[in-house]
Amino acid sequence: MVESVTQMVEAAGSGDGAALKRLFGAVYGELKRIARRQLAGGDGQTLDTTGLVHEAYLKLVNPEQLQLRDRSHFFVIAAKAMRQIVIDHARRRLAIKRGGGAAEAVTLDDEVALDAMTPDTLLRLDHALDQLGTLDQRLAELVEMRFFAGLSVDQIAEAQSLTTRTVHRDWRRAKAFLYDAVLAAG
Amino acid sequence: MRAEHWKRVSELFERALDIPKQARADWLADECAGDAELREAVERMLDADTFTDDFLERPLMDVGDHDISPAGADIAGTMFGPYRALQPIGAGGMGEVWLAARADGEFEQRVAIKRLHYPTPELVRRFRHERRVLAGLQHPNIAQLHDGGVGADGAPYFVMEYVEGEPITRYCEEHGCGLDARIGLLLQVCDAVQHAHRNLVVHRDLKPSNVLVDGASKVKLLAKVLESTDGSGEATATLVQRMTPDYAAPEQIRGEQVTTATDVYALGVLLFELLAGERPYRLGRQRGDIERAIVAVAPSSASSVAARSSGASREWARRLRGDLDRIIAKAMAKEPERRYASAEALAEDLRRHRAGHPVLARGDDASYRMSKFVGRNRAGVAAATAVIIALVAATAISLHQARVAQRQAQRADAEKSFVLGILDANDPNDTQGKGETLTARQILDRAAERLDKDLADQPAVRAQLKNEIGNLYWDYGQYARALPLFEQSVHLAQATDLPAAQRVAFMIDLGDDQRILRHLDDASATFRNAMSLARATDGIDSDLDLSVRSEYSVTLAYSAHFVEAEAEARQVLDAVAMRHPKDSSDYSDALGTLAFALGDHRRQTEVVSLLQRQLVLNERLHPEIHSAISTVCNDLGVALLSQGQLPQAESSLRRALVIHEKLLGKSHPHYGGTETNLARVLDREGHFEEALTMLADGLEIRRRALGDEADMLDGTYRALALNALHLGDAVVAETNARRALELDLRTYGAHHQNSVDSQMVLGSVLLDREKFDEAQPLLQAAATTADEIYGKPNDAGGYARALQARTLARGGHVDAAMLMFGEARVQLHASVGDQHFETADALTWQGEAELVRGDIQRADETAQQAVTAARASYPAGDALIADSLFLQARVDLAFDRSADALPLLREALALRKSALKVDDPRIAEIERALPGSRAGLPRATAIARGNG
Repeated sequence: MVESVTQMVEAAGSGDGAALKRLFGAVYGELKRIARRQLAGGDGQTLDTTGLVHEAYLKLVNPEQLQLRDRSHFFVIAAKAMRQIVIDHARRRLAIKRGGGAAEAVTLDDEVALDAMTPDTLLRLDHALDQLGTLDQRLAELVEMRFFAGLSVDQIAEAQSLTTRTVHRDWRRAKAFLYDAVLAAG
Repeated sequence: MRAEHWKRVSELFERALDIPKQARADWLADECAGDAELREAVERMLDADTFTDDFLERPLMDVGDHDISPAGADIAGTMFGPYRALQPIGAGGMGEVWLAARADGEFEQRVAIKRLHYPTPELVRRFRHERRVLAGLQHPNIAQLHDGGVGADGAPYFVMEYVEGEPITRYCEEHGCGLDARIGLLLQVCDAVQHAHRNLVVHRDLKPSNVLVDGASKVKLLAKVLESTDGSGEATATLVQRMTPDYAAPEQIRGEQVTTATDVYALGVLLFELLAGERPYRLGRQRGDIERAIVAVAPSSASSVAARSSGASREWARRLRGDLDRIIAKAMAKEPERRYASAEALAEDLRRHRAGHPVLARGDDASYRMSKFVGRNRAGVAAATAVIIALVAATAISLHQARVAQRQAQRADAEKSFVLGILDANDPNDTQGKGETLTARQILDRAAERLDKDLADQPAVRAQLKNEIGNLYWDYGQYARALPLFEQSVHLAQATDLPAAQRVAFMIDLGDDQRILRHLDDASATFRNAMSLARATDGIDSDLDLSVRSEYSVTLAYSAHFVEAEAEARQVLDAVAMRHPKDSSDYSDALGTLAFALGDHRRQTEVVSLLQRQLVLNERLHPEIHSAISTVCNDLGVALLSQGQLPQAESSLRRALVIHEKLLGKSHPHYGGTETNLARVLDREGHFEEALTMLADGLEIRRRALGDEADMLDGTYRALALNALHLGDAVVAETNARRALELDLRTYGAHHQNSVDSQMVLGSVLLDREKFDEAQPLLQAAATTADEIYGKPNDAGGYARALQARTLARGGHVDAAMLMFGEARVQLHASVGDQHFETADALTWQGEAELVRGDIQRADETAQQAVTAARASYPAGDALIADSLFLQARVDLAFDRSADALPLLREALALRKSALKVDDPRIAEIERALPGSRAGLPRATAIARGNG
């Protein structure tokens, strides 16, 4: 039987590590597909990450069958996948820049405005986020959901079962840590 | 940091946020109780916290328009150190400026506070950079930096001298300043700009609103957009988009490197406006028009503008005429190297004029070619002068750099005296001489001869001048003469201390010349050498590396290595896209390179779209009369011909021809080349006679420029052969086709696209002359080679097979022919599609063969498709449509549908009569077929056989 994503989410939610990996793979693949289509169809300039994650959600899982806790889990995973896509893209751009040779076709078109951050800064941010993750996983996930997946504070509060006030405080702390780490590395 | 440690840091950070800022330090010291590491970690977080208001706030990639900064908050009343913000007085790209006052002392000092809207790490870095630069500029005519810091809201700011003054132009108007007063004010501006240049700072945005004059007639330069001379190119490009174009120099419009000469240009514009009362390029024009004018159009002289302006007196205009006009023109020269070498030099000339001494800005109206020659060499002189000035001023320059600069200065001196020596010896005004006026060409020849003698001990100068002279020969289309000069420049430069970038540039020139002379192996070797040098010095994917690889890719395509050429060109395009904006000339060039690498016989649609994109870009970057437009139009015309879009091809090539004529004249090989391409289109459009005239003209031009036996004439001979075939002169056609193939085999060998083209043309001719046995192997070779070079599908392979099939059919091998027609059709369908004239030809020939075979059912279907294809690709009235019509008519007659056949026969006859000689057998064959004609052939099959 083919395992549905809904089932994967449920399994992952109850601590099944292998299901978690499969889930990540499925979400990652779907996000890339949607992103590619958005870029091909739209003006090719911007990628609506929030819409992307939500579309993947509707596409992959059957919302009615999913418990609240599992839904939150999905968004945590989707945000991680989104971060992976963005960082892969930044890394590939840097690699091409440094003459890494025949890179595979760039998935997210160059037109995508990563212009708020250079690939370099993004990679530094990624690194800093890894550091933060080892110290405080909740904060790292918060940043993934907020910055990479564009979820609102309310949605994150729901996903993390926290009050919005705590999310706001966490957010401020995470940003201060990252800002310092990114600048120090630069 | 360990996790427990982080917990503690987090906790202290959170609690500190609730404690008033002034009390934080003490509180934190208590809490940390000597744990310096802990304390530092918390302090760093708190520090960072003041900058993070907007950090990470926009979800990544969910980005809107980044150029629109959020409106600044109302900060009136906020304290910045001892200053209280009063009111906003301006906003820039990344920040805003507030008027503020110091209120703590006895006197009230007014200052301007500049702050960032939101401090992203990148902006903070640039802001700090700007502050450092400003701090280094201390000059009475430059608004001073007083102080700086981080505000309570976390945004960094700096405090500037507040200038209570008016823009220089308004000041002059309102105070009724006379000519001398205006020049006096501009001299102050020059001093300020010169001071900035000495500190290796270029202003880039000099305009009246940045040049204020206070109540004491003192000029204050607002250093708003100061950037260091080492500022990166991208900053420049975005800046230009934002700034008003009126004061922008041509190189800024083009997105090229901005130097101190850019400021000299803006000073020229300012001087123009102050003296003439108007800006050099009329207001009210569209932005694009102004930009185009700045790049291409010489402005009216200041005196003539002043003369027609109502405000100025006649006396005023008279005083501008002569020296002042010339000074302005020199400052505003389109080429940076022809301007004054510095703001100081401009100021000196103005002072000289005021003192009644002769000015230096003279003799700029010498003949264009001559001044260009001098102008180019002046570049070196100007550069060296700039270096010397920098040397005198900049104390920080290292000893090593100083030595380099000295060597450059020596070189420039040698160069200068050499150039002046040649020009002196050839002064056309020298009445005591032999009275001969030398042409620019003769001057060049003489210069080339004298070079080695006069400058024996200056290899670097010789290398540079040889390259210069080589380039001038190249400009004249004298590629063979340029070759030894380019070779020697590369060779000489090896043993000198010339920078690698320059040596690579010499090598690129040599490679281009070798390529255009079709010494393709030499060209490849040259580019490979250049590539290793470029990579060794600047690294892989550096601009230098990319420029070489672009040329290398084109060379690969010339050498029939299309697959490699395409791969290289795509890599270059990707890398360029990463380094340069998509509206830059670098990107445009990379598009053109890829188009070339794809070649003429495959992916025609992509080639056309690449070139169209390049054209749109170049139209934005350059004026109409520019080689960047004509070159693309020529290439696009050829690509459109290859794609089967005849009318579009014609108009693109005509546009290129007009520009070539204005730019290069009618004797330049480029003109002849485009003329030949246009003739090929006209020939396909049925304008055989016009095409012939044009081909003869193009051949004559190119022969004269390139020599009778030049390798590049093969295309012209091919076109002449096809044209003769269309005109019905098979003997002439054969001569020209053989000549083309001979040239190609000699130049490129058999395994090359040009040889394929020539084999096909010769094959067609031999087919027409019924020399089937000779035609057959030629066409076979053409088809095989085409597939090897381009890969399948390509239209050359398809068309060659169609010709081969026709040869088989006409030679009596009808069954073999049918198979081959099938192959041809598949390939043509997959490459150029069903609406191409090549498809129309192939279908017509196939239908003829089917008719001969007696398979009239099939022939009917094929003929219908042939007519559709022909009508879709040939323009109305094209005599070449007649072939398919005549086929359809014969099929109709075979079916006894004479009512259908008649109008087709009449149309075909009219078409052929319009383009062919009266006695052409192709007219007679239709007349014979017309029912009721004297030679009327009542039986359909007989007609079919008779014309098979």
